[in-house]
Amino acid sequence: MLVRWTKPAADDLSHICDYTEERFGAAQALRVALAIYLR
Amino acid sequence: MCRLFRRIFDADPQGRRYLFGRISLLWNLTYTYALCLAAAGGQVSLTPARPERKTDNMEVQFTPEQQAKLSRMAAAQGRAAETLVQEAVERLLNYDDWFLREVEKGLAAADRGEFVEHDDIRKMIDNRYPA
Repeated sequence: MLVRWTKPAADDLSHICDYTEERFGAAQALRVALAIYLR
Repeated sequence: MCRLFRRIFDADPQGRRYLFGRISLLWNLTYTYALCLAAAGGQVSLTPARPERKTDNMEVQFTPEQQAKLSRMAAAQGRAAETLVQEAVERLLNYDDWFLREVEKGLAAADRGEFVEHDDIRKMIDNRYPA
């Protein structure tokens, strides 16, 4: 299955990383990013 | 409780605004009620200062658990349960509007052929958080 992201979706992921990193640190941000990426 | 307040004050500007808002609301209600009591010699019930525009009533059923939680929350915040429900519905509607707008943005980007490959997303994550 080919998965492609729209540009707004990629931007959203980036913003989610910013938010999570700012509040909970880089390790948690990585976990969240991977959870979304692998879903 | 002090620790909770300190956490809110130190770490969360939105929480601080919320807390000040609640305290301010509580003070205004108390003050207004005291004035009414004084004016009516102690025989008064709280009613809205100005009638709000409303449509026909809509009846919503809650489970006993939901009702109990709602009542506890209303009591803790010193607000009417009905107000909390209206606020919750307002948030839901606003969220739904926002979500649909975001979906439309995504569909428009897809129509324009603006895609990012899945592998490139992984590269972005790896670049941001190198092992």
